[in-house]
Amino acid sequence: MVSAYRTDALRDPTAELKELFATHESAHDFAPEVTRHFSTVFSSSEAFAEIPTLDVQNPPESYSDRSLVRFRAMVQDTSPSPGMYLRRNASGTLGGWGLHEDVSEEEERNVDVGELRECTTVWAVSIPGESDWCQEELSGSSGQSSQTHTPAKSYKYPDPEGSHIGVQVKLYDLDVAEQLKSTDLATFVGILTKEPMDVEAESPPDVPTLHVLFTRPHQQSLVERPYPSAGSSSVREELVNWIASEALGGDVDAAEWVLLASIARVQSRNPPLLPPSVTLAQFPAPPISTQAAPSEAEAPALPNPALSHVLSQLLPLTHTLPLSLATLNKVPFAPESKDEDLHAGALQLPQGTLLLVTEGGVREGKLVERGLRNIVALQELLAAQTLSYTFPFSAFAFPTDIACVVLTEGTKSAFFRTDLTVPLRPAADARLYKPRAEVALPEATKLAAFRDLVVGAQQGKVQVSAAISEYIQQDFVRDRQQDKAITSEDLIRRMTVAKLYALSMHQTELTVDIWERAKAFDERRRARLAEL
Amino acid sequence: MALPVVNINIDYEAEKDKISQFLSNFVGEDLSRGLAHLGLGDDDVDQPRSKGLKYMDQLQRVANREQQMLVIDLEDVAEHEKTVSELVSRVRNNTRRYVTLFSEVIDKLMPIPTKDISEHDEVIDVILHQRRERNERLEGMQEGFPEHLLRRYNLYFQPLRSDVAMAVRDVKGAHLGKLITVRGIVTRVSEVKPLLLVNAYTCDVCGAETFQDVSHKQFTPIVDCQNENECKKNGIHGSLHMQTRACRFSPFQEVKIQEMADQVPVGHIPRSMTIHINGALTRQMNPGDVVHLGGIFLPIPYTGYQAVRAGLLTDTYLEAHHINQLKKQYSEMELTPEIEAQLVQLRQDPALYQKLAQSLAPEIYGHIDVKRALLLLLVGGATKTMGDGMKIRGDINICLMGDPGVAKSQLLKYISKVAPRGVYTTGKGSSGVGLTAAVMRDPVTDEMVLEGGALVLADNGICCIDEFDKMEETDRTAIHEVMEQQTISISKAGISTTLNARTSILAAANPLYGRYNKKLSPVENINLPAALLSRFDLLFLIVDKPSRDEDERLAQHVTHVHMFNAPPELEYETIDPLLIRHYIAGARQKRPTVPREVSDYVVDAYVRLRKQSVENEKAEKSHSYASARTLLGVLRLSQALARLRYSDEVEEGDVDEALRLMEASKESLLDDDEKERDTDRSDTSKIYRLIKEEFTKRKAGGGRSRRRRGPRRLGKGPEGERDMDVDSDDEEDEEISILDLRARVLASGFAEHDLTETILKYEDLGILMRVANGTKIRLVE
Repeated sequence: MVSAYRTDALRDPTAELKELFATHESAHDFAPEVTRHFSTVFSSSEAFAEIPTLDVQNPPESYSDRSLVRFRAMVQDTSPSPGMYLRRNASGTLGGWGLHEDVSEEEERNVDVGELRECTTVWAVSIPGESDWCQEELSGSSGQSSQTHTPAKSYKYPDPEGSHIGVQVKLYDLDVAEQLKSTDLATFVGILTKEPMDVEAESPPDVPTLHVLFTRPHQQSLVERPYPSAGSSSVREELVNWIASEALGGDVDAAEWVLLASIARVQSRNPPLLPPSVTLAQFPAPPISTQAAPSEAEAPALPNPALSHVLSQLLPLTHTLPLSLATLNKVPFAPESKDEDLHAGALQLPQGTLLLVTEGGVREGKLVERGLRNIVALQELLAAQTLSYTFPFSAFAFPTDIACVVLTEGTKSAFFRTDLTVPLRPAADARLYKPRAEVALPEATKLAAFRDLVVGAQQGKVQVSAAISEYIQQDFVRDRQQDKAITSEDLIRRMTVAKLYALSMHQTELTVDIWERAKAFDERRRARLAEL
Repeated sequence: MALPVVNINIDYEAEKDKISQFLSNFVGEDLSRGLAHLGLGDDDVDQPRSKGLKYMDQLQRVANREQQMLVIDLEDVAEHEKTVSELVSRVRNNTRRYVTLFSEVIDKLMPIPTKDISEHDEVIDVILHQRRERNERLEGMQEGFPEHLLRRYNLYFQPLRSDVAMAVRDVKGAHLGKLITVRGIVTRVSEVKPLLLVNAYTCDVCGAETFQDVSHKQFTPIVDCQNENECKKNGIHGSLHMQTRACRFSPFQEVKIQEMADQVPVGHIPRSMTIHINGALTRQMNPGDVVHLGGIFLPIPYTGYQAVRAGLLTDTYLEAHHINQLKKQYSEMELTPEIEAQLVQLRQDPALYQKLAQSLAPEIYGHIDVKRALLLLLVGGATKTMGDGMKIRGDINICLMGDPGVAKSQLLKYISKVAPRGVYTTGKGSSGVGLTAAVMRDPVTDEMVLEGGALVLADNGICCIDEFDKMEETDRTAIHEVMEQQTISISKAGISTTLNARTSILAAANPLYGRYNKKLSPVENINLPAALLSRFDLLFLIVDKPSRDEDERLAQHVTHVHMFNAPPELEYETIDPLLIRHYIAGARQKRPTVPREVSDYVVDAYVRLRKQSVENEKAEKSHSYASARTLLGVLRLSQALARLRYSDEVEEGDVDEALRLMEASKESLLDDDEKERDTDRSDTSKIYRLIKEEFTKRKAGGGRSRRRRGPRRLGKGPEGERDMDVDSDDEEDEEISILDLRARVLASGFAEHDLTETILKYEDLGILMRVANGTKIRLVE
């Protein structure tokens, strides 16, 4: 029975919806019924996978009007005011979900207010920084795109130049809509149409519109992995070695720091247990083609470090932000609302993203006001995990959960204060910049194990028992009596590092052994720093 | 657009009667009514159109074309009906309909103008007037004009004062057609445009005017003359011409408001709402204003093709009926009954002072005296204006100085959040513009505008300045003025003015070399000019010192946080910040005075402080000195303490606590060894007190007779430094034998080396002097 529904829904969702309405005509609140019905029909994962996906490879143009699609997206803007729709048209058929009847002007003026229902509109975009492997896992292997899609309102995507899809999403189930916040990830399943965006404007442009039947939120992460996993302990070592050899010129310690940074998430906001930001210092600048002095306006595209490619092989969400004077001065980092329309900023990224900031492209020059504001915004993100959106006459801080690695040529970052600084010690012949194709991938099963380790650790939790906590306290008091320079900040940092270390080992509990190893590991970093 | 009627079984004729009753009989509470009352007694109430009838008077003015806005206050309706459930609630639920009903009633009640038509009036009025006169002459030639064409007023409803202002996101479909109140910040204001209400035509052929009522966005112009007697009869078509001058327009403005920070749930994006404003309410709002808007929530139907494409029927807007501009200050916070009850309860709490102080930034451990001081800063003293216009500042200024990482900034941020009009800024980040005020050229209008900086913005509030030491010299000079005169003088770009900046300053600064250097004196560490320092009522130094107990506690805290991802349970209950804000708002309304005896007490204390400070200066140990500003500081702190008790008088206890806080702030400047000496609990100071007692006893007892020589023979000096016997010729009261003292001190339970230590220490300080080869001591006067 259910499978029959499923084929019906896939073939003609509108008819299915109307049929459902016929049986629930008396229901006061029809929208929750829709959510319930369709999420049951597609509850199994293979049924869910049957729904065609809306993505860059399959843009809205490739679908016929009112077909059923799923759209894995980041909520970009929830500010549009809710609209009203007639629950029931004059002839008694279903209203909403893009269904409307032609009525005379006369009838339109005599609307039955009691039949008016609310619907929430949000703007959603393809998930920025989603890795290819993650996309493949969730959408299935996709064919190459046949046509190039010109996204509507590209200023509402964090990287306006990048290929993406922007869709106006209409939610009829208000309980679901209430939950959605900016940068939330969700898969919307609904009926795809084209509708004008801003109805108040003189000639509103038509934008892809999704009338949602049901929603699947991605709260923790896009992909799920077990924690702790039963994988062998050698996987961690191999992973670190792979990162070191492919991206960091063989520096194993630095690779381990990158691993710790990439699994860090916000544990709690009050008290603040935030992911530590890491600076990889003395990271050589990209090789510049020697011809033609780079002018500020027309800076040559710089190669991305190999680390960027390596991380995108491991993590579901990574984003590389190459800093240069041009980007700093021109690209807005924080979202800003202009004329009641929220323009995205480069830092409006979903939770759980690893942000790789490269300072290699920065040349001498002048920072204008926007540049300064951008730096302040990124610094705030590093220090407090909040991003301030600008609205007319006010600014609101939005919580973020973005781990950050900064690559800099100097001994410390030129712009930012990070929690940890690790000087890189690459081998002399290291190739830190190479195209994606030249990164040597481990065999598929190994790579899968690496991903299991990293993604699992991102979602894992580590317990600190009373006994180990007592041990750490004694350790700190002893250290402080020996060396007065040790402060509470050292303790907090060690604690954070030790917990991440335990996470990276897929341990559920912090042990004395891990504590000591993490401490020694951190001391090695400090020793390197002292040598600078 | 006519909204459908929800309550079909309401008898609108009866309603009209009620409205008519209300309008013609309601007696306002204005002055003219009071006068009429005095003169004529009660009987004039029954006479229609007498003075004192609030609405009938207004109608007369409307008829005379002197007034355009007719505001029906729902409070008045409620008062007249003696209930809010009947007519009032129907008005609130179906407002659009009742605007029509009221208008129809008013049309009937509208008095005859008592003033003749003049050239100042609108063309349409002149035409209507003449047409009416002509019709009267022609006797029944034309029926007259439809009533709504003649209306020359805008009818508005003013919501009940008890109406709760909603957030934009709380306005739901269920509110359609109802009178609601919404709060928000104005983000965009359109130009005022004329909105056509009545379109007027004249006929080429017969010269008659035709009027067309326009109630929708679109309308179809009439082309055929409607004159029944001439053109219609003769079948003449297409003879009408529009007369722009005779049309009736209403000013129309579209405004956008957005939710305020406190109305948006965490992580959500603020929503906006469209507001339509008609008639006399236009031009009352500017972008940036915080407003309460009363109005009708209505849908806009899309028309034609647009609707087909949209699928959705409609967007919504609020038709404004009442605008209330808000200012964000303590005095204008909304008090709910629950909060009021909690406040009463709180006021009875004996440990209130302690509890409130602990509830400030509860996540920061310790620093209780600093928190107490910050609490007093929030409350503030009373500002006085002297007869000659001179002002004595009541705001309390505090400076926190200390090592990096001792939570100074967190304290500042907390305070700036609790205080309404609290502004947080850093000395480093803010230029002269940031802190004081600047003259800028407006990019849009190209005019010079004055822009207030943090200090002006914090007028009647608190300005928290972090990294005070890293501030530009010029800004600090501006702050001198703010801290004493509470104004800012600006003389830039040809604009010279003084702005009010009645603000408390809460500053945080790092010591000179980043960390507190023990080898330097406090003055050198602080590195701020004395003129500025003396303007701070209190200065606290917070130093990060390693100590086993503290370290352990800290380590415990850190590990606890990591164990449970939650802060440890506090040992005390804290008070909700909202409640604190309300409590402080209440306290700030008190203006406590200093009664005679307490003022004597303060004077005594001040004299003592002055003396002490002179002594300290002599001993070159002073880090701050007592000046007249200190006296004012003590008074301000005591007043703040009295305010906290909701008392109208300062008590001695308040003064004591103020002095204690001042003392505590000074103590924080001393380093450890010094502090030990000063703390009453240390052994040395206890012994010193014993010594002093002995001296006073001797003086009182008349000297010689009290002196016992016995113990002297009992043994040698404890340190073995005096082996010679002592001459007995020291007969003066100012000297005491150490042996005498030793017996006394030992009897009090101290060890011998304590005494020696005390004597050596106090000798170093120049308070004691050993004489007679170290066998006796003398007090240095």
